[in-house]
Amino acid sequence: MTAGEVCSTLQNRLPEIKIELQRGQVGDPWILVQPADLLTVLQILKQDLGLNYLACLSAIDYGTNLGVVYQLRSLSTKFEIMVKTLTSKNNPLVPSLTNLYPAAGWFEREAYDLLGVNFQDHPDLRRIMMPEDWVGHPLRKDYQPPAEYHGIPCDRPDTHQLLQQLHITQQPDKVGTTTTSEVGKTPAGNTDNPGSKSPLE
Amino acid sequence: MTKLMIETLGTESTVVNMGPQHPSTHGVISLRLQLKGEVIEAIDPNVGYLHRSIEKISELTQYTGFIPYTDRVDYLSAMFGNQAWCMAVEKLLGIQVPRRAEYLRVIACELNRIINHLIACGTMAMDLGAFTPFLHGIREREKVNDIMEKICGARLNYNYMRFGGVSRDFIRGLDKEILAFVDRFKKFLPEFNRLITGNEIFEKRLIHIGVISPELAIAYGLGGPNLRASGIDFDLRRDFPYSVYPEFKFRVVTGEGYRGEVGDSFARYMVRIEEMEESAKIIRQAIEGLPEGDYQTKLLRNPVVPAGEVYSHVESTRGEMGFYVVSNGTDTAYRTKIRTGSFTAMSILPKIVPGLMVADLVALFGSLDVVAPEVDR
Amino acid sequence: MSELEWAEGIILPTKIDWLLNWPRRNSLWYLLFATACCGIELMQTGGPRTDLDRFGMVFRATPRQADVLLIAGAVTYKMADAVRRLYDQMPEPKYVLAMGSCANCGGLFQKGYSVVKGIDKVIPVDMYLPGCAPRPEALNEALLNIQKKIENERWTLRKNMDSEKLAQ
Repeated sequence: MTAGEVCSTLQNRLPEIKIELQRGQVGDPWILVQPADLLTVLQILKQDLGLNYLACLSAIDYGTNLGVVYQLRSLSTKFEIMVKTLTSKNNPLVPSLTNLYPAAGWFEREAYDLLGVNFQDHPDLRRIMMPEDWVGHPLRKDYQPPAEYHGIPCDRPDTHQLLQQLHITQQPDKVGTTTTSEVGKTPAGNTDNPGSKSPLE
Repeated sequence: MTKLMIETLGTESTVVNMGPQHPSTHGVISLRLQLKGEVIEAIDPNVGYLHRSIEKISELTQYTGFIPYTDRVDYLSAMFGNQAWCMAVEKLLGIQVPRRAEYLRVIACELNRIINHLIACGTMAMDLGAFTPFLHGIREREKVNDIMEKICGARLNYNYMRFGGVSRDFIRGLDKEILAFVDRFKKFLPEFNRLITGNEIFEKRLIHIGVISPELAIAYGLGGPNLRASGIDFDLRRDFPYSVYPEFKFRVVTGEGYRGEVGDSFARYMVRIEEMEESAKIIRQAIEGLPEGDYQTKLLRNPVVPAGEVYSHVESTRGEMGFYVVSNGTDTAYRTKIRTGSFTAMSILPKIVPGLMVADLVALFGSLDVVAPEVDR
Repeated sequence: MSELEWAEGIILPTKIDWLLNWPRRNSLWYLLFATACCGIELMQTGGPRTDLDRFGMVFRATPRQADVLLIAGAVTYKMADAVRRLYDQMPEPKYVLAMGSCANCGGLFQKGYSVVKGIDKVIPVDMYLPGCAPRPEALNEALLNIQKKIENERWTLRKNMDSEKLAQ
């Protein structure tokens, strides 16, 4: 079974839902769904296709929106697939998978803590890695660390410089979320003048 | 007067903090227990005391420069972290690893599995009060540390693998030394078992404690020995083959056939003991069949990786270690998510612990083989 | 330093300072506090090859019985409060050994947002031990250096000391 076959099976079963198969320039393909349809699609994947093992749940900051990525696996048919959903950065809300896959409980807590994604109907959504009174979501691209925490200084002399460099050269809007093959794009190897790259195409 | 005081003493549950500095939690993990006497009513693991922001550092460091950080994600099985990261980037770059390099990687990883399980079983015995097996395990570990030093130069954080292979070849005579260790280990394992495994007190403290059913293990995403001890026959080396594991004959050990139930703490312990034996077999086969050739494909020191996403996983000592890497066409990753076996093993605690006593919790926690750096990264 | 002379009755010509320091430095009990990778090297140092027990150093699980706080591994902001509390719980005289790069200065996690860049921002440190992870022999030497430091402590005649003698 391949990802393309799974995608066409889903599209046949649920013709009114928007499901796309995407891939980057290299690497694995993924199935993109809307957050509202996520539970329906995953229910079918779990029950009909036997993908009963959630290997990994991660969240990414794409600049203008946040993505949540699921790695699903079937232990009996030895098949795995990646599913992705995108939500806005200002009000990120994704349905929680804890009823379908209990493994998602702590992964979602981590995504909330480090990236600020809110999961609907999660039984216990609170910070897991950072202390409870930490401010901000550290893995976001525009995160600024505090100057001090409980009296301990947090700064390095060049922290702000490092984070500036991150925000500019990481080009968050260019990370592949489209179906184009992006052939001919020259990879950016030098950071001499990172500010000269245009943010949008 | 005394009778009145006893009558007004309440008997409600108390919340007790176990950790973060505790001799039995393996690393800095804090467990909040709600106790009624000695019986645990509820448990809330409080992790994050060792969150070293390794995922954020991957966005600030170049691909090759991140390899030492992958050692420290789980320092007791550093080779697996190296391998998972190198496999992810190699998939994105589309390069092949030479056969000799794959064999060297397998030998290093299986040696690492042996020494990790020695510490796991040793510290579990130490938590239950038996100090000697731990010292015997440490003694064998020292021998392997010498071998690791000859392989890659370091005793603990190896930084051995590179994209396209390993960083250096074996020195002359090292394969004979590793074979000598494997022969010695074959005699050591029955000695270790005679010390602790057949002991009545040890077995009584572990059988029927913390039984995890197969459905629960799959639902909570357990992996490695924890999953196999619950009776599920799944091993990434055999079922999602990577590297040169298909060329070796080894048995996937499950938790059936031991005293007690399938999925209890004793089964998890025994699965680790038997896995050490299987790893020794793999090392012997690898050394005897070691091919000639390059130890690394020639590569730019600072590769620029095309845009794409990949999820690569290896069968690490505690479960599945997976690296989800998103690249954007530069020489620095855009996002790395590290998935570790201990994270899911910790998440199952609130489900299986209520009803146990505090001493049983210590035994269960040792049998799950959770280490703090893997949980927090 | 005066020698021990065992005579008929016990006559011990020595300095009071040396006599007070001798048992203290030969039975340094360290707190079993291992955060990260350096903790494994600490366990190996207590193992059979580099045996710390022969120097009188045993590990204790509670800070109330410990002399030396060995910070082995990276300390995060979440953990720093706990480390401070552990240090406060230890009875005087106490010593702190920062083991490894992460405890000295933050180590290789300089770009991280959650690691304290050096444990001396939280508690006072007596000895710094570089390495990542330091070898057991290096940890052994660091503990022996703490012993030397204890040997030179002065309990009597504190007022008339000049800085040269203190620095020895």
